[in-house]
Amino acid sequence: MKRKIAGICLLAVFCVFIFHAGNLYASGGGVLYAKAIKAIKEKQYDYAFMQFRAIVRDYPGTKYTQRAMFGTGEYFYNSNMHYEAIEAFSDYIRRYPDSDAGIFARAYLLNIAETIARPTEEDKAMVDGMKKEFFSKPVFLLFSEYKEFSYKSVFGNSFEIRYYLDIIEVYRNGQIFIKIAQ
Amino acid sequence: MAKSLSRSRNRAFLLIFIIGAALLLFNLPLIFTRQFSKIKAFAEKNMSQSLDKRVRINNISFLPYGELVFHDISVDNKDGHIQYAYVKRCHVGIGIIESILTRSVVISRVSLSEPIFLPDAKDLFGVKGPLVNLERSVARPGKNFLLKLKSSRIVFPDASYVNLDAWFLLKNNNRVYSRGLIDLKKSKLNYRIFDSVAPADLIDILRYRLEGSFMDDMLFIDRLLLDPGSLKLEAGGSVKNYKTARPEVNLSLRLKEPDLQEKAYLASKFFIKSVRNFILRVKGNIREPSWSINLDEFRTSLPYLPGVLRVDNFYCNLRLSKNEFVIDDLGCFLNDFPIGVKCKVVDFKDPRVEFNMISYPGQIVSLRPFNPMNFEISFSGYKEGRSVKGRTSFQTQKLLSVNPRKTYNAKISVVDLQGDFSERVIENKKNVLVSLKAKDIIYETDAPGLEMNIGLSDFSALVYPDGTRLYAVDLGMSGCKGSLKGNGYLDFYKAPPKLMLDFKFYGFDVAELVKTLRLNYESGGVLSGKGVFNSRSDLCFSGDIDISDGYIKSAKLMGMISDFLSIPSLKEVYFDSLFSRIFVSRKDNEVLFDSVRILSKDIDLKANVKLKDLEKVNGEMSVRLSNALLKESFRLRMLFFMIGEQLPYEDFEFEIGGMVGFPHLKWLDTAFKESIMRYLSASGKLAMERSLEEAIDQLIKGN
Repeated sequence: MKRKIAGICLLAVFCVFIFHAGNLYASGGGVLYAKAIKAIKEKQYDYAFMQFRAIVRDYPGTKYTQRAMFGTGEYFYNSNMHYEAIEAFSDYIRRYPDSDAGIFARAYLLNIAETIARPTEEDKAMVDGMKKEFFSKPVFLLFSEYKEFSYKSVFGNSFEIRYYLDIIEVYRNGQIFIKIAQ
Repeated sequence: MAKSLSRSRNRAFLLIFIIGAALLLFNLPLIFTRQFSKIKAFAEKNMSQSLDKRVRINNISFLPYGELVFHDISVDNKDGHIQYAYVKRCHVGIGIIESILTRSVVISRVSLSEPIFLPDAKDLFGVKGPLVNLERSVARPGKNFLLKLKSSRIVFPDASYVNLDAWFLLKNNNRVYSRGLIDLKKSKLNYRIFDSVAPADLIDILRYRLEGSFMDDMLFIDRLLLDPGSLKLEAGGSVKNYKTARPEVNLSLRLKEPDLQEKAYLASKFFIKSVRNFILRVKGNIREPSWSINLDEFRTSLPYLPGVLRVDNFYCNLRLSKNEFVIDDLGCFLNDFPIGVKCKVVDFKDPRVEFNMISYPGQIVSLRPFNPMNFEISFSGYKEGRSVKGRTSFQTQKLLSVNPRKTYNAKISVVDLQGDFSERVIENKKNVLVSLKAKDIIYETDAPGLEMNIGLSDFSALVYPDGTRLYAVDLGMSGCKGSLKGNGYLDFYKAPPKLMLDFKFYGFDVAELVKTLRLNYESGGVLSGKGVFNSRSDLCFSGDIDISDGYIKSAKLMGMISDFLSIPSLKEVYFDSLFSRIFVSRKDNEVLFDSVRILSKDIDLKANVKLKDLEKVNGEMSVRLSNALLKESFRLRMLFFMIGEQLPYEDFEFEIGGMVGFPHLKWLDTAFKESIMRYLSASGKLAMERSLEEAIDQLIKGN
């Protein structure tokens, strides 16, 4: 009898663990994030975007939120929704100013700003200011011509930034994305 | 038969009537001639009573078309010693029919030929003025009356005179019309205003046309057109109590789009190059009137400021009293910048002009790499004799765009600037000597990372004429235990004006300067140097600085080198001297620090650094360290040991890029570097780079 009771208790504990583990995982947005990654692999980018939005909206402050926000910005950029992309990347930089991907979010913003057909003086000043921000990091080149940092986004885009003495180059998937002269 | 008889009788009667009328008409003068002596006595008596002076008429004649002529009329005092006026001929038109019908002498027009009014004649134009009385007493009400003045002359006490040819038509509805010509050649007016130069070019003849109306005590001027030479003036308004000695005026005079010749005397006298509209309003008692002047697109050239100043929308409200002359408000756009002045002359006998306020918001000369700055100057002071003294505060403001989304204010203010402007004659030319003294010059900004509050004191500048177009400048400034002295010249003929200064400075405490400038590193020493500034040259500044017995602490560049070499002592560099040549290029917006050298017993640093737009850095640097300093680094000693080299070695050379505060350094290839690269494996290089990055990160965070 005692064994039966102990077995039932064990089963109950196991069941509670199983059910709550799912909830715990879900509470961090992990399920949504996993769904989004799966959707990207299946090239269902719209569905992935929906998941990222849900993470940003429903699970702010989790470890997935940062990557989801960057992904949202990338989705807008890839869909030529530049206005929304600017909002998303600006929001990203505001919330995560020291993140590794921050410099690439700035690269997206600069790339969009440089596509303005007839820039006003204000636009030009804004572009100049953004370029200055790329140089707001001291660099010491000891043995190589440049210093390199890389990042891979949730959409599978690989980014590289190369700091030369007076030039900064940003690559996206091996292609030059922007080049900033001092 | 009977009909033909009566017809011939009628013809005879008509003939007799015509002959009778003709006889009567031709005989009228004869009838009057008989009465000439009576008329003369009557006129003399009436005019003497009217003027309260003795009036004598030499002769009277009568013209057949009904005009009575008085010859040689003289007006003098009762004993005949003082003569007031003389009229050669006075033609008085008689309305014959009206005279017959009314049985009185009706005058329809008066013409004075060659009248002369002598200095004492002003009494004649008082309340009992002859013209007024003449018109009122003998002219028939309800009829027009014409007065002609032909070749009349008004003589002033100083023997100057005005010639006047004019006619006045007084209509029955109290309307007055007049047109004439006033010759002001030798008038008091000309002497008073244009005393120093022959006024031949000015107002030869003043033509005028007047339309107005009068009441008992009011004269309304609907339109008064004046044509003095090349100018055309239009006036209107009213004169109240015009018969009294203190009439009240409300007049407006307008000079409309005059075709001013540059050589026209009036223009040159008042430094007028051109003016589109000139409006002068006079209001109040004629002896103490208020004036207001409005000018549109008035361009002038002042003798003290050579070149043409463009003055737009000029307005001025003036009050003039016995002892005081007040400019309530004077404003205009001076070369597109609004200017406002308030001042008053306290005493005419001992003129002392008090300036309550002069405000002038303007734009300072663009001195690259600085952008043009707006400034506002307000001045209060006084002018006594030939000099002006005053105090002003001067402020300029500029928006800095440091961050793309944010702008910050930068402000330069000069508190308590005292000026002294005095006139002196050099080589028979009037010139102005300007002396300026400022106690505090403050530069402030609220931009993060650029927080500054520079306070320099005891600035003084002496500007005085040196040649026809150059002004010499003597400059002095002190602050932060040091002083600056310089001299140069200003050339106002250039646009913008050219300023060239040659100056030297010495004794400035660097620690205090750095503290004032709120720079991100500590430094000390005694700063001295020299420089040449040229506001219009592409290379607008060149000079050199020398800091002796100084130090640099917490400088990022030195910190990075310190981390690279693992020599903590390099974070604080004490040196015997720091020298640099400085060149500022307007054209390229660059500041070049050339031949920079820091010398001490442990360090010899040479550098050439270029600053573009005051933020981008480019250059090269070489550092040689003493054995003692090199031995301080365990890493260096190991490296030297591993590659089999001996201390001392060669210079460490770097190329510099990036931005101010965030430098990019590249270690240039040398034999030592090549030996290390040969010796170190890829992972060793990576490890060394990472340790350096971490050190730099810590350095940045520490700052």
